[in-house]
Amino acid sequence: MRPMTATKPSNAQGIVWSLVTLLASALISYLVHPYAALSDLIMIYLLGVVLIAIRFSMLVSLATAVLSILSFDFLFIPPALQFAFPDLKSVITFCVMLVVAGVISKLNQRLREEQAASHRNEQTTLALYRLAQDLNGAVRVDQLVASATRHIERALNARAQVLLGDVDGNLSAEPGSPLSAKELGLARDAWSRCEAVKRCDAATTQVYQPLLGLHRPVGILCVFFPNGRGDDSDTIRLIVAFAAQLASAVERISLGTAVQHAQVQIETERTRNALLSTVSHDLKTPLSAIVAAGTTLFNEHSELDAATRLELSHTIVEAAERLDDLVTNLLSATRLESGTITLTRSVEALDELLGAVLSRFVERLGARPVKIEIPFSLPLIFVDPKLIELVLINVVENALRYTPEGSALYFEARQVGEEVVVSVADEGEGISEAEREKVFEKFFRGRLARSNDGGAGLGLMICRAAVRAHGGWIVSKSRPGGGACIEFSLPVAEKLAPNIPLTEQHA
Amino acid sequence: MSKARTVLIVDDEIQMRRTLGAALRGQSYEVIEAATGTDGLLKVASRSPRMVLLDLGLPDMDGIEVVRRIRAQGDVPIIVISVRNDEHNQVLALDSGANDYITKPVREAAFLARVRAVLRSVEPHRKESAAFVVGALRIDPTQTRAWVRGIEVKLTRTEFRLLSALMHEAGRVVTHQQLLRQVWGANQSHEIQYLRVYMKQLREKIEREPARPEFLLTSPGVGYRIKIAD
Repeated sequence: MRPMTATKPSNAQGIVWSLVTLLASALISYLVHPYAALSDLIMIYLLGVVLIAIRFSMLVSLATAVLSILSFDFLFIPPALQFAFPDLKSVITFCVMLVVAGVISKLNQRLREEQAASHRNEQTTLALYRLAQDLNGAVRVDQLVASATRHIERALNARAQVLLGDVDGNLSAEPGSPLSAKELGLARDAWSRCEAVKRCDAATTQVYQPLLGLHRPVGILCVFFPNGRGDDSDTIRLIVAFAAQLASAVERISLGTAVQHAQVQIETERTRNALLSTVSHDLKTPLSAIVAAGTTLFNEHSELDAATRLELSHTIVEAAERLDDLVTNLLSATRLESGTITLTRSVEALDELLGAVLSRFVERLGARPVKIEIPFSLPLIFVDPKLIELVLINVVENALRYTPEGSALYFEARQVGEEVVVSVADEGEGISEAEREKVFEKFFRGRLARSNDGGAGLGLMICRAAVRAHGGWIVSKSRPGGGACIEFSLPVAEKLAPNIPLTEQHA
Repeated sequence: MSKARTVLIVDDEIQMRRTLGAALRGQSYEVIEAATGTDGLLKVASRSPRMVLLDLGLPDMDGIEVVRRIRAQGDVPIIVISVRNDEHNQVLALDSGANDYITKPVREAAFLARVRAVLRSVEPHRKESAAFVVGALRIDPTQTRAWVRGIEVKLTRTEFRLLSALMHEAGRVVTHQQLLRQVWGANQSHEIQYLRVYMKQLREKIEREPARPEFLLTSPGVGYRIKIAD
């Protein structure tokens, strides 16, 4: 991609072309001179001079003009074939010829310079654009530095090294840094003075360009050119531009990290506050009931009848059960949230897990109709049984809490591709459109929640975390005909190894 | 005479020992206590209790290790008491020789029922030859026939072995590994899928509503248990 005019033709070439043009002009003029006036012939020479001036340097153009004048004078101004002092008209023409040669070659020279400059600009822009593209992809500072170094080395065809400033404002050099102590000293010099440092010696040109961020330098870009290159203004401009871009990219990432960090802190703080309020309220309420009922029973001076004693004992048991559930949920939520949980997966049957969960709720289910539709052919699932049991417990718990006594519960499961989709529905008031997503958030309590029902807004959050840990999804929706429906997916277990026959003769 | 009803409670928490002790004494069991594994092992040897209740979280040694050492000495039944998030240890304890496990918090009625079930299952005078009855289930090992509420059900040989293995341990949890070993043999002990499939078929045949079983209960992550009337 190099424009012809961008390269400067050599003077030797110019002289050759100049002589060729001169010869051509003389030949053409000789051929036409019987039919034309002298003033017309000089136009042919002028044309030759113009052509040379367009292509070659001022020196060659002027030389061509002078040679043209001499040759014209010698060949055509009478007396022919000897130099004669020209008439006034010819002198004016000769002057014009000289001026035209000078002006055109001057204009041409400027044009060439501008083209060269714009070409350099184009190259710079392209190099910067490529660097910017590379840097945009980076999400960590080390990635950024590696990619920038690679890029700058390619663009400048020189060795490059990026040093970054640390939080304390010191220029850090990693232990494995290939910089010598002297080079490091120069880099530190550029860092502390906030300006570029350049060192040239016989073998290399070293440039230490600070990466200037918004408020302070963020690092130093070191470039090492072999054998005397890198000393021109274009290269320096390019290095400065690279440094500016790299600096803003480094700042973008470190600011991004800072923002992220702040967000995590805010989130942590929010969680801690919510946890504290949950702990203080939801743990304290049943605890105070236990203490109150317990101390009343314990007081040997009080005269309680058997029925009252029974009632107080019942209160203690109930409150303690609620505490137990709450603590279990809090522990599960914490384990799931922290991501430290490891799934202990095995091949399980959904109907077995559901059966185990429903047997826990026998008393609370009472006479509620429970409709279960699980096809006999439903494949086994590959899950952590305790976690999925926890999911089912929480979903059932939720359904029981928000629906009137005696209303039905519906359990359904079906295979969809490599997943088993389970849905648990009730006949309650359902979940409003606005709360569809929120119900899965930590400490969220639906608008129907009662403050003393023992819920802490953890149940569905646990469900979501547990299902997602299995690579599944969970959604809340409306049951056709009214009521809420929680639907989630579980992974299907691999097919049974075929080496054991599952059909056998009756005993 | 009284020795036949002596129960040793090994737990470092005094509240637990007190509560479980009270529940057992209320049923006229004699109760002895130990707060550490070492003391527990000593008392198993010196007092020869009829049963051991063992907490897995002991201060001086691992509860599983206590199970192994008691088993090395003899076959006194052991019920492990563990916290809820302890499935791995529950299975380990059962496979190491514990007879059953109960999760904390302990509910008295369920606790006493499990104690009775374990004591009954180790009673020496079990009639292997004649028909064997647990609640509404009856099997006849000599003829490999089974009845539910008096109605005969046709079981395959494997299904029958599965049912009879569970019935012989009625009331207590039999781990997946134990069932696989008993029914399929030692080399199949990791093929849990077979167990699931056969359990499903067995439930289809003997349960009214297989997803809400009355007899064949699941302990997720641990194993299966046949329910007995308290």
